[in-house]
Amino acid sequence: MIVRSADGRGWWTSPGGSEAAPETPAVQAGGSADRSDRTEPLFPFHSAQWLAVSGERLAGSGETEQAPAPPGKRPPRAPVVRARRPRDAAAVLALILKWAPVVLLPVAVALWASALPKIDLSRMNDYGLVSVVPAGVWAGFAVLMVSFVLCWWRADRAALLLTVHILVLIVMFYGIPSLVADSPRGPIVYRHAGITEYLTRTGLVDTRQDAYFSWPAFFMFLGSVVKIGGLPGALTLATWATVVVNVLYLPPLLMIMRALTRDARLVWGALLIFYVTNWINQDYLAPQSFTYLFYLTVIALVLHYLRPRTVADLGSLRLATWVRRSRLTSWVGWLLPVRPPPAPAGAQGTVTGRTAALVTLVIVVLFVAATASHQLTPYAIFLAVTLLVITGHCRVRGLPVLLGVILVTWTVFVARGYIDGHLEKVAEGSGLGQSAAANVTQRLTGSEQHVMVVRERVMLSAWVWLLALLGGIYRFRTRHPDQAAAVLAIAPIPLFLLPYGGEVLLRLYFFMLPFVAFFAAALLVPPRSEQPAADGRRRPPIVRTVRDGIVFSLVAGLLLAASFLARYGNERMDTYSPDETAAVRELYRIAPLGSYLLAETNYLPWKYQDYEWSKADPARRRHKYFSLAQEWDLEPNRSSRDMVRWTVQTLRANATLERPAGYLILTRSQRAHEEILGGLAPSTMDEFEMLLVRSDKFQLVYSNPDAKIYARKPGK
Amino acid sequence: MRRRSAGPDGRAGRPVQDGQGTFVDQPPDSPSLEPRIPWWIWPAAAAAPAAVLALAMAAQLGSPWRPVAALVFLTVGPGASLAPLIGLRDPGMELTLVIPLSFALVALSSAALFYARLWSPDRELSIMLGLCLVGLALQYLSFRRRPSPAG
Repeated sequence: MIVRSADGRGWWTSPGGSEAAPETPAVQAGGSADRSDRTEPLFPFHSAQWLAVSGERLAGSGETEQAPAPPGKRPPRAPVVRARRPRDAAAVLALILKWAPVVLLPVAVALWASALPKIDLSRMNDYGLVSVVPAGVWAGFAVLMVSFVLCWWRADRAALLLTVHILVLIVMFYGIPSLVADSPRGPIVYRHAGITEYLTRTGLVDTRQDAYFSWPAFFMFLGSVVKIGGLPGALTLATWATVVVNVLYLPPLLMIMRALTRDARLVWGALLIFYVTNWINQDYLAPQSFTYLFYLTVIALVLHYLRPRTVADLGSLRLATWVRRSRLTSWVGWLLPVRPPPAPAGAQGTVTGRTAALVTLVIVVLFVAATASHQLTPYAIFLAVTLLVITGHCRVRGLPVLLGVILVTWTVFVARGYIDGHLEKVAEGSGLGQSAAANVTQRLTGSEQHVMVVRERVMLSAWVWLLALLGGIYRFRTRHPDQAAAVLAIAPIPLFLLPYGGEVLLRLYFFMLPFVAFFAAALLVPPRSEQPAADGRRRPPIVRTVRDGIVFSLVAGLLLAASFLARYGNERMDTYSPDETAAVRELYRIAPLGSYLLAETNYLPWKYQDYEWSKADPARRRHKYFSLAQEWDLEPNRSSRDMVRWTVQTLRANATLERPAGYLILTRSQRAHEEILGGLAPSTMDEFEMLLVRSDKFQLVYSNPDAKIYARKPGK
Repeated sequence: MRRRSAGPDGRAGRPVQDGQGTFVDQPPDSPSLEPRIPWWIWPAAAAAPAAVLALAMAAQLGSPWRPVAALVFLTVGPGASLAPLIGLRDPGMELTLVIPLSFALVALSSAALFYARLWSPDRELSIMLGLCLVGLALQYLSFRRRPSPAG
């Protein structure tokens, strides 16, 4: 029998007795009675202990609380009981484990930080960052995982410490490129900086320039921040954007997890799984990362405040009634409840009246901001909210209609310029076959090491989804009310049909990830922590606890290692050396406005200024950007000599229009891009460069170990 | 049938089975994940960065004062002035809402100014400061209307 000590501090086992053992004289003040008569303390650090107690309560065999005093009469004061300090080996071990994270966390950071200076990015191969990461970084991650699990065991009492662990993980996992590289990674962030520079310089929105201008709110936000803050440009914010963005995701993720379960270990386990499996690199300074914050916040608000309270709240959309009448299988009935689903304990409960209206207004504001900023995220929000309404988890039934109207209005009236101009491309890119080809089969090309990385990404995603599926089955079989999480996990799937090119599967993974992480973590959280009475067998708690902790830390550690390879697998082409950024700066310095700028590919840190080009309007004629690889793709049979001829003629045509001719920039990252992804062969580009020099129409005007700039000679 | 249960510290709620065998999460007596914050935090979070930014701009301070003040103000200010007015009754949720709401308001006001061809940093800043002032005034009024503990 397990009972609670009178001072509420300790929990005790009473060998065979059902009396309140702590109040017996044998226990008081550490009495000297025979040990067999005493109660023995369990492991106070381990929350499963009280769960076991509660399990007995559930079974109706162990009501230990005192009966309430009669009205008007003060309850008798319980005798002062001083629980004996645990002195046995297990208790000492528990004490050590309790305080171990305080030591382990600094050790993990120290190991990681001391190893970072040893990273030499110039030695990377096509496996990316993993090929140059020293053992100290891995040791740091391992110690961090162990430390996290020690806190995770007592998650209900260690929220602050677990938060610190997650924050440290974010810095250690997502912050490495910010610390070891000299400039923001990947070419896209430079384009975003260029669009921001254009908007703040001109104050104009020109939808003909780029698709980005049909969804420009993020860049306008960025422009306002840059100009009000007096910053030199948006690139200043880009270096640490990934770390900051992931930190910003933490509060809404925490609220979502709390809305899905009250099990603190599941909450924190799901958060850890989210952060160690977010490998898809969509969290840099970009509209996607910006609007993902809105996506998470909207879902958190709906789950906490807009749940149905009564059957009437479910309204006419009671599909469950139809399902029940149609005698469909039980799991469909589970998904579509015939009565309001039980409110999660973490949620504050649904709200009504003014507060509900204001919550809805906030959701609309966030949705409008997402719609004006990104093509895909508003669809993800719309799908999530619509499915929550249909399945009876959101009682504001008009919300999907409102969101749909906003979405259609924006697409028809604001983004019309892009849709009209690219209708053919949009139609071509739609559909399951196109998306599957662009997202999977076409990506399995490139160097041998890169193909391994791509396969590893596919395997990692599949494993995470498989873990989630098994976790979902477990939760379903144990009758947990996780319908909302299940609905939200599958809600983004229709996005796969949208014309979003080769990245829609990545975005799909991203939108599903919080709920996939929830179910994956549910598989790893010890079942007895939620079903203490269901398992009749008794095992020593310490063995079970250690086993659960080892399993969880091993799985999380493996996922982290796999994510590291998947996330930083393109680092050889994503990272720019100081020489490369210096070359691009020099290019902008020497190239007069109006000149053509050529590169082998677009994979270099350019376009962060002088973004626009207009043939008709000289005021908006900055630079026109070309990629040789793209031109070559149009007619792949052309020889290097043909391409040199095309280059000469293109630049000459520009020169005849009384503009400066143009420049060709070749950098290390462009070459790496083509080698990794299997584009232009190095020998082809070497031949092209040799023929270009021999043509005597180009002159080398700048050179450093990682970059060269050729200028078209005037007058020829 | 719902039954009440709580942990040894009386904080953590946990799932119990209802009459149909479904696990139903029970609310905790004292939610451990919810921070308790004093009433003045949000007004201070909105007003302090606004004041620092105004001072930095008036004194023509450069980096790092002005960028930091601007970042903090635009990230926290508008949301902190408006989120408490919603009546969420959950400091954790208010904390969650502050930054996304600020981002959304800055983005939407900037977009409105851009499309109206009226955008300038000063105008955008004025709108955000005005929004903060309105929010703070409304917070003050709602605080005044709140009944006193004595009744």
